[in-house]
Amino acid sequence: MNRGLGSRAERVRPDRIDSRLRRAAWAATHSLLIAWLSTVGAALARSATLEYQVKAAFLLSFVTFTEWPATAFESPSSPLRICVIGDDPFDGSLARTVQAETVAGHPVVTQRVENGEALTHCHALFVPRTADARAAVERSGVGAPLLTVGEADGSGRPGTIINFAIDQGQVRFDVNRTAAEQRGLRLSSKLLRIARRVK
Amino acid sequence: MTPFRDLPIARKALALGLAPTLCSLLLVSIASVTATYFTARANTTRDVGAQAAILADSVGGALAFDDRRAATATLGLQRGRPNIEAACIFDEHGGLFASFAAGLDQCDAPGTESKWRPSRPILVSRPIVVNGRHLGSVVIEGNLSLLYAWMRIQAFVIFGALLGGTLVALSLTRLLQRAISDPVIDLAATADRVSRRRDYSLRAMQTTGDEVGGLVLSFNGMLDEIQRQNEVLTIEIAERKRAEYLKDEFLAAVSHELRTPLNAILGWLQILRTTEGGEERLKRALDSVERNARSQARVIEDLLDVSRMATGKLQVKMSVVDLCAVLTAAVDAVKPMATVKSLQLALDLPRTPCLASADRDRLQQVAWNLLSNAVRFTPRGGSIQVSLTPEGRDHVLSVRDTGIGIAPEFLPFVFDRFRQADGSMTRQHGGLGLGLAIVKEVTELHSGTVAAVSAGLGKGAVFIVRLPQLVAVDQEAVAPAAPLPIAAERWGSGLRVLAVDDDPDSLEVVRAALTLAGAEVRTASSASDAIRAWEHDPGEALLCDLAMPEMDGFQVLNRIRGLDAAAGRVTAAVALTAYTSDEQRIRCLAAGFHAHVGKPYKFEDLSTALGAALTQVRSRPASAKPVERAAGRR
Repeated sequence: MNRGLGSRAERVRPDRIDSRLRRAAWAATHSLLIAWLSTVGAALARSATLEYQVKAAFLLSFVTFTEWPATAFESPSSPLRICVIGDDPFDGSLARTVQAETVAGHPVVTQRVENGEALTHCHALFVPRTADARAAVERSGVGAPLLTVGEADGSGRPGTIINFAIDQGQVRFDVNRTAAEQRGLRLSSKLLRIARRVK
Repeated sequence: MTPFRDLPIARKALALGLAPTLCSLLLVSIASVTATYFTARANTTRDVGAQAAILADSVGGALAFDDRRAATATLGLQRGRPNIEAACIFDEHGGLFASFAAGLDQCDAPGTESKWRPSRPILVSRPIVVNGRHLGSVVIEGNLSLLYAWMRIQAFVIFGALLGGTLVALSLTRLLQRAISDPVIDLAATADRVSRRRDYSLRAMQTTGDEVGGLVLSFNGMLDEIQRQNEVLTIEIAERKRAEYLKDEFLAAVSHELRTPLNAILGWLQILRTTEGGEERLKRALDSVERNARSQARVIEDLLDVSRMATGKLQVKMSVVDLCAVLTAAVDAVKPMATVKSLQLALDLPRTPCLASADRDRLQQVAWNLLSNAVRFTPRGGSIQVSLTPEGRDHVLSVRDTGIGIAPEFLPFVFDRFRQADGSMTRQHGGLGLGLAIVKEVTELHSGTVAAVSAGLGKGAVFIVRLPQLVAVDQEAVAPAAPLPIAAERWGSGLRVLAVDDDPDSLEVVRAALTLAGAEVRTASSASDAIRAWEHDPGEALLCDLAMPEMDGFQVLNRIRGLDAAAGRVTAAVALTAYTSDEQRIRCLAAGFHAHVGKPYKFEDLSTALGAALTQVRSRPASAKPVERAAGRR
């Protein structure tokens, strides 16, 4: 923390200099604050990046421990798509994580989708906190084999199969098995074992 | 340390039973342990591999979700397994994710060139693959502690089994080796006893039916043979001793029989020399001397015959013989002896011709032997019957007496040589016991048989001789075609004879004999003298001794035959010699002598021989045979 700002501001109290000094002090403080904030922001941004790195790895693991019905793929070697709706919080870390990975012979790829786009080509869907994806989810179809992953507070939005949560500084997740079953997806017990809560 | 081959059989058999057993036990143990080790090792490796696979499956989730806690917990379950040294989970980059180690060492990352360490002989790694995604790998390092524990147990067990097996083998072998070694030991002991005690009546006992049993039988067989041979030898030695004894007895008898007449002869000569006496005494002396000399001559002849019999050289010269004449002559010969003992002598001859193919002189000998025996062994007043009967194709000559007979136990031996029923010094009947042996030999040479029959001592005896008859009787052939010898009267007086002999006494005798026969006698005492005398003035006949020093009678004859040939005439030659065997006789005749006279001779025999020689010369002058053989040969 920069302590020097306050001390400098107190030393320039005399009146003649008051208005010019007041403006300069305020600008200095502002910029310092911004600097400070941007550092914090950067830090926050950095920890936010770390969180999303972990979540990216988890996402890959989710698709690793999930079984889609055969009809979900055109061919045994067609790609497995992880779609991210709305703003992409991963900042490329998801793309890096899934690069050159295959799950059950399907190469894993990521894709950004806009709100309102069709989701039929997605196998897994990550709904960031900021997105309003409910409609999108509902539009994708109730029974479509889509692994929905969210990071909403609480127990997550209804219909989300896996929901991220930050518990004691650790990235954890809750699993809604019913939702998975409704969508025809089989989740491995290993996945369930690691989950914080299973419904 | 005795070499194996010198160990007792029992030990050897024991070794035989134990060695293979121990070897097989050891081999089995080694094989078992080795097989167990490798099998258990493979099993452990497989086990650990399975363990690793299970582990890989279990920690997939923890690894995927970076849950080290869960992963480590899962690994920690390996703590209970004693064969796991360390278990590690590596991520896909080869970094250590979680680990568990029983000891201090950590596991090496997969792919690194780790040396096999003795404490961690098992290294297994399995990839963690989920849904085709390679997340990392599990590496487990195992040890063989379980295996070693198991092998320690097995070693104990095997050692125990070895020990037990050895004990069992030992006792079994001990029992069974008896079957082999006992028979052999027994046989060896028996052989040793036989050898030490030289007791060949011992026998080994056969207890088995194998080769040792066969050995026992052979051993016993050999002992049987030894015993038998010993017995045979003992018998032979006894018989030889007996034969020696008999021979000694015989020699004593011979000596006695030869010296007794000599005593009479020499005694009478002393009497004549030393005392005065008259014609009567002189006559008695001469009679006694002649009688004893002839008796001694007979003894010598018998001895020579026995010697010929012993060497198989007794021969018979066959001609046609009138048995009746022979018997008559024999009876006449013993009549004087019989008369002295007042014995009745009867001769019964058949009316049919009694001809046989025989040796006349020998048959004469047989008849004389039988008759003289009968006379000798029949006491005063007894009788002797001689008969000749044709029976079938044989002539049967029988001499029966009422004498002392023959004891039944002696009967089988009565024809044996040197045998007398009574060999003692006080024996009543002299002689050498050869007569009957000669009778038997001569009879058998004639293809005949002789038998003795006696009812026992004091009951007389009968001797029966069978001779084959002459098959074809040729009356004309009865009389031999020899011309009758010219009697001395027909020689003409003054027959000029040369007598040759190197022995002065013999020369004196022959001169006397020939002068008595009316010849004019010249003498020569050596061959050279004789030849010189003949060359100077040949005579009409030659009487020549054969055995002379420097030149013998054959050489004399040779020379004289040479002179004869030159002069174209033949001299009558008679050999006069002590060599009387048939071979010698034939030799003389073959050499060119016309006749052969054996010493000692009767004067009349000498005249007869000379007459025969003259006859031959005068009737067939061309028959003189040139002497072909070289001189100097006997």
